[in-house]
Amino acid sequence: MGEGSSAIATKIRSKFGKFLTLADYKILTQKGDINDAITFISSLPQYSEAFKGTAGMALRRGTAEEVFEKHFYSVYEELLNFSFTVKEGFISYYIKREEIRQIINAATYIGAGVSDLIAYNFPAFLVSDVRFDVNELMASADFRQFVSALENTDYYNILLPLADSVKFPEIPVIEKALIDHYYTWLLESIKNGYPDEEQPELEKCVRHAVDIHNLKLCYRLKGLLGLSAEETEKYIIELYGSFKKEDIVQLLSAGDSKEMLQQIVKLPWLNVEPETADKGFEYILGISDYKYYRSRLFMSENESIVLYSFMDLLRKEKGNLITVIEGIRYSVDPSQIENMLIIP
Amino acid sequence: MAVEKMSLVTVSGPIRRANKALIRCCETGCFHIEPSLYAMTYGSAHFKTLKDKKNIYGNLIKRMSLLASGLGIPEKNVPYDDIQMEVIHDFDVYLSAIESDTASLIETKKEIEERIDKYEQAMRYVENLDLLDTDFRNLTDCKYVKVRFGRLPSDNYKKLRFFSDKGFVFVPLEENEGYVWGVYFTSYRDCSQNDEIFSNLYYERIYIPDYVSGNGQEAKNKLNEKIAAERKELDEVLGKLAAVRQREEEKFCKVRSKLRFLNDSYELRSKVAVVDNKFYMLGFVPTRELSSFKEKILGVQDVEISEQQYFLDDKMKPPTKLKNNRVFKPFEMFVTMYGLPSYTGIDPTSFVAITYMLLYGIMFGDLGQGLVISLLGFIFWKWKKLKLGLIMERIGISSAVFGYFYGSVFGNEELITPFYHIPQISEVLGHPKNIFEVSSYLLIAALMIGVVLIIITMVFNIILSFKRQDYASALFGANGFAGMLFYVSLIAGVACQMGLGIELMTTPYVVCLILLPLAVMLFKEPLSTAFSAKIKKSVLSFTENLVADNSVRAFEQRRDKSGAVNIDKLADMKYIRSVYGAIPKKALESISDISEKDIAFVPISEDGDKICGVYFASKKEKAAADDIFDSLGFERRKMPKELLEERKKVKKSEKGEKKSVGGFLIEGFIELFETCLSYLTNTMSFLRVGGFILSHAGMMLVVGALSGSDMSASYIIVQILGNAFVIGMEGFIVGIQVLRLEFYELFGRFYISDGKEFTPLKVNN
Repeated sequence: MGEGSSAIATKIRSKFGKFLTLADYKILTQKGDINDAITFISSLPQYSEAFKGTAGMALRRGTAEEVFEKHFYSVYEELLNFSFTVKEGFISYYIKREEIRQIINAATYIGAGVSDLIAYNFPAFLVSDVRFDVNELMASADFRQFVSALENTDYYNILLPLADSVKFPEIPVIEKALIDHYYTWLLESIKNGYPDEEQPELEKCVRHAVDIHNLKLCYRLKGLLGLSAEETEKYIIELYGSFKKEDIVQLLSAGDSKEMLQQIVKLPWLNVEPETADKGFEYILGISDYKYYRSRLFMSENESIVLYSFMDLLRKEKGNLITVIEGIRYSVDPSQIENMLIIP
Repeated sequence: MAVEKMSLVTVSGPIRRANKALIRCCETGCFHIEPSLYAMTYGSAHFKTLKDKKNIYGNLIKRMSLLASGLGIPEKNVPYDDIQMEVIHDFDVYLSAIESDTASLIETKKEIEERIDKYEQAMRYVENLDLLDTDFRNLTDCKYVKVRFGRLPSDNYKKLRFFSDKGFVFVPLEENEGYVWGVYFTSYRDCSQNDEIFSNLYYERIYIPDYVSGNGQEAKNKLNEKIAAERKELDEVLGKLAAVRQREEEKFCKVRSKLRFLNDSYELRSKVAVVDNKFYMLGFVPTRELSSFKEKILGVQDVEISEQQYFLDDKMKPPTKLKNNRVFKPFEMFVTMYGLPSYTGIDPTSFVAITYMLLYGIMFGDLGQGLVISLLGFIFWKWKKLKLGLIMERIGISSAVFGYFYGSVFGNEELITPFYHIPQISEVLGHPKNIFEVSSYLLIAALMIGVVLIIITMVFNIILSFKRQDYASALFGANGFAGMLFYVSLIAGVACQMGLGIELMTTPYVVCLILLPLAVMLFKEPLSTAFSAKIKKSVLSFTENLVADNSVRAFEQRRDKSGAVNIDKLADMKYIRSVYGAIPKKALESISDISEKDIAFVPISEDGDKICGVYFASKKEKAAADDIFDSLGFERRKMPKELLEERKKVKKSEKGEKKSVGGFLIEGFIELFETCLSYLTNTMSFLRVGGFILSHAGMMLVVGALSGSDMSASYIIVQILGNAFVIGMEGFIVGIQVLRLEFYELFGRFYISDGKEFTPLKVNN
């Protein structure tokens, strides 16, 4: 690891030091209404710039999320420009992920007949970087037109096999194809862009993300929506890390969500206490993920992993802040809100 | 180390003289009034306060404020001795006359100002649209095309490209502060759809007023012309008002000052008690000013003054007024900042003054810079009346004296011979060339200063603790005799052993002078309980918590919860006296002022027109409580059995909560370790005294190196800037560090700040 890498890692780690502490959240949960909460958040040095333009606005959750998203992108861009000489390949994952998210959103909105929302909810930071024509996407009347709108991108070949009819396939099918493509692309980028000795750690990091994605699918589709094990397996991304195929089969053999949860907390790679089973699936997953990326942030010598981990942790903080904002909106008891926060 | 001696006086007289007496008391500037409740304890239970009507001057004050703002007369207090107006009617006539002259002018001024505001608001919009090269009117008058002016967030401006097929055209004109200002055109047919799109993109529409016409630049010019015309008209009105102002200002200010004085003095009437058409004011006057106070007050016809006896521990707490000579007086600011001593306490001002000047001088010793600080202090005091200026004067001189000793003049150490170059001293110190070569001696000297100051504060604590009859703190405390013995023995032992090579730390020395005091501190709690019980048993009779617990339980079981006075205080109060009895219901309602005191009344049952209950009072308030309740017609009765019944049970449970021997020892050892650690850290803290001497020399060395040795313009500039920087930064930091040493290392050992400030009665604050 060169001096430059060390500098970016140190800069990123110092930014992590500014994350909100439990004491901050305790103050925040005591706020009387959302505006007070937003005022408090915007008074924090790390968010003051992000909320600068919102003074005097009655902020809703949606607007707050937009502000966070914009802020995260500016943080990502700043860190990227700070020392990464190569800005393509794996490290450009942020844009790729956002593009995929917007395509899935677009398919959902068109399916629901509210294509205008594609434009309204499109992140402003992506407008100049996006590689497909959003107008064309919005105007698409059927799935073939939708796929045509993506013609000049790598998503075209991914979605084309699904366009055997004009009808939109089910969203999980589109989602599976795109997410599979995303992780495959990440792994290929690692292979092509990094020296041999750095590849295993990066690959492990990506496969961990796949494991988490697969675990979510198993619990949500089988445990919550009641799909059969076979049906659920169809949506699994087969780029396994620690969560192997046999583990998935065993988990899907569980009778109900409660039984699944008992099995989940025992998964050694998740690194959670069995008692956390009472706190619910989202909490378990959040805590496990938080611990994983926090350890990567501090232990890894690879600047790309440090940045990748940091951005994920930033999202966890956003999740916590939104939990508090929603808690205040619905007058949830502060202690109850604190219980929902993802802070290991 | 003195606190001004106080005399308690009652000013009384017929009620018609109350206002005049009150005003005269304010004028003396030395009367600290106590709440009317106390005045009542010297009269009858059936009292009321003088302020029983709403403020009669409020309306006149409001009218004067309106006139002042209309005429532009600034707020200021001026002498008003020549103003003969006394009653409300006089003021009313005066104000009415001015109002008749100015009412229409003020109204016109207000209208013009509103119009200017309106035009300026429109101007702010138009300024952001001034690149528009079409007439606003042409656009707003379009029949088939709708035009919307406004701004949208820059982020959302980027998204407009997604709606390029929606039948609107957006023309951006300017971008600032995260917004793009512009105008969009839409067909009449698509208007509602496009309005919705823009609304969803947070487009903030602005409405261009009808009077705005021409293109952006023209509209701007026209608005400027309108604003200029209005300003001209405003100037004319202001000119007329200025004439009235010129004519009336002097008298107006005087009348306003007098009216405000009357109004404020009226507010003070709540502190005056009235009984049988006679008023009573009770308060403290510094004894040395008593005769002049009497002389002034007795000038009011029919008013009498009588001196009252008061007991320092029992009655109301006398206020504290510090009394120091001219040299030390400015340092009262630091003592007040920390908290005033009680009337019976010790005033540490002179100790602070001496140690502050000494430590500051040692840490920031420079003849030239010290004199500059002193001069700056003098200027601050004369120019801005800053109290800190007086302190700067003194510490500057101290700095200069030590600077002479160090041989430093604006960092130059060649003009005066420093102490370490004096042959005899230089010999002892090993012929040092500069101050850095004596750094170890400086640090040892700094530690010695710290040790001496800490021992002095321990002695203070022992004396004061005896004075307060807190024998446990005096004898067994960490800052008491045991602590001092341990500290002195340890320091002496270590110093002799390491510095002089004398074997002082023998077994009997260690056991008797180090371990024994430590053991005493460890067992401070049981020792002090045994000791204080012996002393206090014969003096005070303690009331059990049980009575309070039972009383509160009985009160909570009552359906009627009225009549409880400050019951919430019971939890925090160290009550030592509980008296059961009956009080007339009406009398109980009249003691609202009791909230200031550590007294609580818990009603338990009703007996006809009386309420039976218990009153609790702390040690210092017990006599006042007895006085108050006696004067309210409180009839003492025997404490009912049920309030004492569960004594055994409660005692048992209390026993159960006692600490185990193991627990006590663990806690004791931890506390002892902390105490020992604090001796060490507090002493080491004084190392900074030596550290700052070196740091000052280091900083001036840098200034010297930067300026070079040749006398040139750059040399002078660097020397001036460097010295200014060192005075500003280091002078300030040393000031704070010394204050920290005072407050944290010294005050914490002996000083208790539980005094109340002497605040002479005054109006027009």
